[in-house]
Amino acid sequence: MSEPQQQAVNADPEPHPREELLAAVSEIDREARKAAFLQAALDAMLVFVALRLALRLTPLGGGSGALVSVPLPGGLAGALGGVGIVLPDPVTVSAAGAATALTGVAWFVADALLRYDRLGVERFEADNPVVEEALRTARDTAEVDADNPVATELYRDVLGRLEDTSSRAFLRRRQLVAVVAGIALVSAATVGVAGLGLSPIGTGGDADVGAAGGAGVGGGGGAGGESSGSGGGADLLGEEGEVERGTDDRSLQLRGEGEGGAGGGGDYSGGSFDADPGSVEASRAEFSEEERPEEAELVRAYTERIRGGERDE
Amino acid sequence: MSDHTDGKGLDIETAQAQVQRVEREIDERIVGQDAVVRQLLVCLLTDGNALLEGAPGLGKTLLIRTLAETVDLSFSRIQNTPDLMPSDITGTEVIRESGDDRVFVFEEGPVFANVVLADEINRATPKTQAALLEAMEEGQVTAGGETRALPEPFFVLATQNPIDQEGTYPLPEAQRDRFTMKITIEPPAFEEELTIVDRYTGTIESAPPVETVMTGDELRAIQTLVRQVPIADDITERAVRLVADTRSADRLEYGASPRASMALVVGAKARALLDGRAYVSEADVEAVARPVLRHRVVVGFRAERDGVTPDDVIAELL
Repeated sequence: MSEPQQQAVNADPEPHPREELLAAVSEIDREARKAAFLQAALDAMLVFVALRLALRLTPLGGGSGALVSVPLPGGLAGALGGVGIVLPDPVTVSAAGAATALTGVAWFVADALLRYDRLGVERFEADNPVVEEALRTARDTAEVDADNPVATELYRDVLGRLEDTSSRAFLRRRQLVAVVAGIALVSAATVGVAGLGLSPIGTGGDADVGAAGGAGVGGGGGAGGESSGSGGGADLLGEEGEVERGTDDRSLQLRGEGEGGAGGGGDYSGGSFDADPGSVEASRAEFSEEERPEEAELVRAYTERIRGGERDE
Repeated sequence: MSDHTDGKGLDIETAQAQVQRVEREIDERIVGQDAVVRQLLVCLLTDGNALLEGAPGLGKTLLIRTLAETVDLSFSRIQNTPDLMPSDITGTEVIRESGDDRVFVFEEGPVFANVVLADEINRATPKTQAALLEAMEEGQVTAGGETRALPEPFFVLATQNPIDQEGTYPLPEAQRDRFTMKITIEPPAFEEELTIVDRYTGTIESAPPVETVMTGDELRAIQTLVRQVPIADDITERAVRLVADTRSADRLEYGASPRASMALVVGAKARALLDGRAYVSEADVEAVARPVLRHRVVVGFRAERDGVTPDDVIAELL
């Protein structure tokens, strides 16, 4: 063997089967982590949309809910700005919306941790009987750094068997499909509830805020946190019809009465109608000079006449 | 002949092939009894002693003699009787004339062999049985004030008869514990018995010839390899827990000692090697549990009265 070839061999020695086995176990561990992350994210999403729907249908989620200001972390604001999403800082959201988002995040964290605990290498071994006992033994042996011919043979044997195994079993397909279907159904139900105008009793309805959970990034009502009090679709969108051309001209007249009497604060009128001061005159009821208001019969007659006039109007 | 007595250079596959050759040779003489042969080989690979129990005429002695022949080991037989003395086993000093002088020379007893068949060991007196204790456990013999090492490998393969117990001396618990396994031999099936009759009645030869297919050094190398077979922590724990459970089982008066735990784990390793595996499975532990534990536990009086055997209790614990 020439010197360069010898150097190349020395530079790239074949890894010991024990090292290869430990690397394979780490890879299995990573797959378990990814599967746990994915399933926990989907579960948390389902919890989030379900809570949103529940809050929409209960007084807790009404428009009269308290608002909270949530400061955006600088990094998050920058990242969102980078993709064209500009949010006010701090974001004002409803307390119910914030609670929903926090519940979703907490669910995700707890679910991911629990699933990862269950989806370890042991789960992989249980799902792959062809390698179960051999891999378990090889892991225990490698951990104590056993290095004898039989252990090395076991490492090689397990590495060979691992080629016939799969980490797909980490993902429970039926569970995933069920959760995704659940998310779709609940989301559809949420849209349907919004479209039909169902609202909690005694409240204005929609109290969720777009910024909560990122569900409504850039959505209406997010920044101000104003409740729209949404009812039916017609309430939200208005009646169909021709839109008349408007005008930018506006007249404004302020009239003050220095006496401080009733309504003395001011009279605002504006818009496209003419504010003719002569079109509205103040009037008050009064008696004829020859009549005497002390007379009860006369008072009754006046009263009936006034009531009759109100009904006519 | 292999010189890797430390197990280096020998792999599981080669070791398995060597042991399988021994197994095939034994099959030339012994009809059926596959499980018994397997257990005996496990005992051989664990460097342990075996106690074979079965009715007369089932081939116990032939089996052990055949094993010794196939593995190229020196063999000796001790026919135990009540008048057998310890010195008849270990050897004794005799006076020999050397020229004009007379000197004491140690005459080695039958225990100085690789394979010692102690036939009907329960017919020897406790004193004589005790002479085997040191040999079985320490691999040495003290006689005439001098300790002498026994050849390696060294096995005591004892037999005893479960019937006709009059005039016998049951082995004490301490001595039973020194046997790695107690192997029970059942009568052969009808077809097997037909084969036995055909094989041993057609010729004047006492037994079909067998070849020596393994040397003592090769056996030592395989024994070293057996100890290196990895076992998972939880399987070790299961084996130890099983033995510990015998000490608290309701129907057992006495349970097994930690020596049983060691025998259980090593026996499972040997069985794994016989199957060509480089790891121990739970099935290995379960397979060797009965032969390893049955002679180490004592069934309580009430359970024994109800016909409960040690195997029944071990099966429950498994």
